[in-house]
Amino acid sequence: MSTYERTIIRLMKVYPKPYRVERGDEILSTILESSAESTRRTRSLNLFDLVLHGIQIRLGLTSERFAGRVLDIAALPGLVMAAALSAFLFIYSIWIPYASDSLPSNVVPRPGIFDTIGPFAYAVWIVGAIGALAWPRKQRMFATIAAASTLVAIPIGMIFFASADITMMTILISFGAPCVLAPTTVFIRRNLPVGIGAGFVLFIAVWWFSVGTGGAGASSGGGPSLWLGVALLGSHLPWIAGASFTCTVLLLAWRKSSAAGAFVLLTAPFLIVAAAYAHDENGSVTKDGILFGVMLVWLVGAWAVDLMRSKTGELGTA
Amino acid sequence: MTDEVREPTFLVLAALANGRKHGYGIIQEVLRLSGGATELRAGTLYAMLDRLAHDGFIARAGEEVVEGRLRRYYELTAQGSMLLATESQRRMAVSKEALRRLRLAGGLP
Repeated sequence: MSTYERTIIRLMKVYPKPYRVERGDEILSTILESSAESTRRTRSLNLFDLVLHGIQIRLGLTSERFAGRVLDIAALPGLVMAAALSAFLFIYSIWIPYASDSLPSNVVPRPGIFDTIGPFAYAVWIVGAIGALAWPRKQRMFATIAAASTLVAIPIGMIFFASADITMMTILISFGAPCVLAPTTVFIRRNLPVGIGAGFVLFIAVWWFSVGTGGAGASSGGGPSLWLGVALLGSHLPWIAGASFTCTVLLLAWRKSSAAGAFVLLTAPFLIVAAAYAHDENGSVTKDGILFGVMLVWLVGAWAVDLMRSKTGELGTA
Repeated sequence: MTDEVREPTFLVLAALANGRKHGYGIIQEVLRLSGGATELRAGTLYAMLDRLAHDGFIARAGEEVVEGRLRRYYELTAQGSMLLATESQRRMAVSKEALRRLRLAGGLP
């Protein structure tokens, strides 16, 4: 048995046991046959693809399951939101520090373009989203590179740079994750306008509107995430919470549970940040936080129920 | 499957059009049909096979052990053949129309 074969067998433990028992030998044979004349790079890509498929099966992230359908819907809008947020933060990091000289530095923090590693991560997401749209077959590759670069940027930023905004980095990864994990690896051309539009609308509704009108003057410094938190704590948070909850309920009433799941998944990063700041400010869980909590509990509950419901469906028997 | 059939799915269905094939056979056929542009990885392939089997477009068609390795074969179902035929005709109609327009515009020699 070769080292490569041993590695494949070890990595196949990512799959749930029933699937591994049913399909393990077959998948192993296919990989070994296809890697007979392949390069080292191809072999590595095969292993990455194997692990990703194993995670998808284990977590129920396949097209015929609830979570997989949610990710398929959320992939493109999520990528658009990551690019839009990156563009905003990129401009923020370049323009705001010099344009806001009239404001005290504790109101609008001035990180300076190369003082944090943020601009690197933002640029990667912008390029990644453009690349994924230009080469739809490579969408997962672009999203994976962007997410991995951001993941790497977090510790590097913490060690070598000042004021690395981990909250923003995490939000970016949360937006891009559906594109990395979605079972469908190619965007449907017909759905591109709707997906891109949904991403922009969600971004503008939940982020731009909040930050743009919330009054950054209340901030005491600390970066965009704090700015967002304070803005959301203004009069807009109850509206955003109510509107998000209503949208989710309407989608469920319309029997669009996958779309409702995608909506909750994409708004969750904003909502969690908002609820956390609301909690910090009030010292207790607010009504808005409870609404966000209900939405998230529904999403996780629907995923768990679906995961437990079918143990044999994942075996792929016709 | 009411949505537009995606290119990799179309290629897998086309690979099975002339008879049953096993995993590696499908990968090779897809590579050939796409002119080398689409190289399916095993994980991606089996995700696709699972979905197509779940939707009733393909079915298992026996298995054998070759040189100590398991080969499981897949074939198109009647529903899968119908989907492939419909999608092929749709693509052919689009291609014909595109060529006609290019000719009219003088874009083709």
